[in-house]
Amino acid sequence: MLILGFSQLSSGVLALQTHYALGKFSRSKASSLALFFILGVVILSICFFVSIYFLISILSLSNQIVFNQITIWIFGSIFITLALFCLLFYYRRDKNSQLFIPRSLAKALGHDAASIRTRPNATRLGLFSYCCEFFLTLPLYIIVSIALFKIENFGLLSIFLAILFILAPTIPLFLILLEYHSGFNLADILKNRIKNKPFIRILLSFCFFIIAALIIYSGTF
Amino acid sequence: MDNLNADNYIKLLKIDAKALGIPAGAAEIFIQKSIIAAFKTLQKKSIVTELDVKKAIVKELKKYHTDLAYVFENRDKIV
Repeated sequence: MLILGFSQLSSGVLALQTHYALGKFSRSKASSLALFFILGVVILSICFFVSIYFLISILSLSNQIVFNQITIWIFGSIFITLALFCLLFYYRRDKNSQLFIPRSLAKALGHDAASIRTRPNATRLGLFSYCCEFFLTLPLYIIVSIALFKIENFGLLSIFLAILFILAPTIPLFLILLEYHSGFNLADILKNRIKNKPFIRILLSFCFFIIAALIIYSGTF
Repeated sequence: MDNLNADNYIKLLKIDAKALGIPAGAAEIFIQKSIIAAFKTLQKKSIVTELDVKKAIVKELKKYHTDLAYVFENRDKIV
């Protein structure tokens, strides 16, 4: 959940979209567009989680996948790779908040954020920007789905944890919205992102390492 | 001076200025002054790229509003 709470791509796109919306429209319309952006992220998060959980349950019940040592080591290595990726590459070394994504994609996201005028488009941008971070979030969804699938008494606590997990990516987005409402502007938000970049980079890679260590050490999901 | 490009930059800067909460009248004045001064400095150069134009505008804008200059400089470097 901590990893999802530090998603940088969708929060950066939301900051950009809200900035342009404040420059073109009223404050209330800019807030409404931001909320619909967040709705897009929530919709995609729910779709990801439900579809992956469904796929895991189908594959497990039909014995297509077995949770043995090989699977555990595969997932452990994936998380270690992601940890090293976040530590070394994902956050670019320059003095800005650019991420290690194709420049054409970053340009398309920036251009899209600048041209948003309607709520459905804001939702679509939220969906698309969260989708672009899928390579970081997919292993997490798989691990959580497997863990929830293996719980025997699927009670209220499991449902509550699943809902929390689905809503975790919206935390940085609501924080961005809160910052704009508190009087901060894009310059302040950018400077904060650049200032906190080393901390977030280390924290994210540390979280991935911890997950890998827990999976490998415990020998189960 | 390429009027089309200057108009584009003025339009972009006005949007940024409004988003940053800068009063419209004051923003218009210093944006115009910055653009004119920036393009004046670039007249001496034989080859002018978009990056040169951007750097010159940022340099002039910094005299009036550092946040606006910062946002304009980093608008493509957020994601």
